[in-house]
Amino acid sequence: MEIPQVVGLALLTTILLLILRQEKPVMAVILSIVFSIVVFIFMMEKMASIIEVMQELTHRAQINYFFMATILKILGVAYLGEFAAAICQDAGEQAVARKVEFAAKIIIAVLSLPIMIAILESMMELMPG
Amino acid sequence: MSTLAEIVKNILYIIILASFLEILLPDGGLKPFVRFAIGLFILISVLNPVLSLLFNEQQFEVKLWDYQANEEQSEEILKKGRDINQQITDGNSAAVKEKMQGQIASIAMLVPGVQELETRIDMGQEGTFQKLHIMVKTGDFMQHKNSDNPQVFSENQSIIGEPEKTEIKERILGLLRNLYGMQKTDIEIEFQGG
Repeated sequence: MEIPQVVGLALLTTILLLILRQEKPVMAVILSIVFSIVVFIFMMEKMASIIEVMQELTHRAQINYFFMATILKILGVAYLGEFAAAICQDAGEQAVARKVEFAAKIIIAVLSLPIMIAILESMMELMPG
Repeated sequence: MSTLAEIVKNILYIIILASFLEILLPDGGLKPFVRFAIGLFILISVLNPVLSLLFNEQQFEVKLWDYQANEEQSEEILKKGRDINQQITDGNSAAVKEKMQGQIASIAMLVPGVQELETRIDMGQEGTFQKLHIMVKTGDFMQHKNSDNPQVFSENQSIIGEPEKTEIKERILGLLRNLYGMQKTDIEIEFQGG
């Protein structure tokens, strides 16, 4: 799926959403979710090629792949969290959106912990005594 | 110096990687968090080689478990090895082939009715036997059959029939099967002139 298809689909979805939001708000939310999922799935293939490049760069830079995998997981969590929060906001559920963002933040913090500990250990090595 | 060059090269890769990751950052409330994690990642990536340079200077000898062979170089070495192996196999195969052809021809000549014959062995990629081709030129089959002392090299040429050809063929096959353990399917016998 290239940008013209995404734009076309987005415009169509927006028009439908404008109509449905007044008539059937539930259907509008479902349509919004479906659109998000469709875009996400179609972009997965392109994401895979980006990840491949990143893996190659990590290998060339001789970086432990564990760190790179963690960063990719964090990016994934962030995107999913943003998507979910945006859908919830569209449905007018600000509170739920905030909870999703909160959960995503905690998960990102947990995932970053091993990297932070590794940095701390490295710093401790630098300290005299 | 080469270690420093290596570190600089790695840092360059890390910068490119970081710029790439920067593009992928999502917009929204989660952006600063992801940015922080990426920052940590860059920090550890840069810190690791610097620390190993500072504290492991005397341990730069190549250890087996640390050894990272250059893939292109390894491939080249493997290719050379394969070429040498192929040359040795080809040389040996050619010698074995020549001797086998001679031996088989001498043995097959003992079959009554065979005046001359040519042998050709097909060898496989790894010097394995694949197929034996024998081209037989027949002599006087009946004379050999009836004589008490068979003459191997007969000068008398006469046209022999299909039953005699089949008998010669069977005898050659039997001989080669018993002596070399060859299967019928591995041997192809043709008669000169059809």
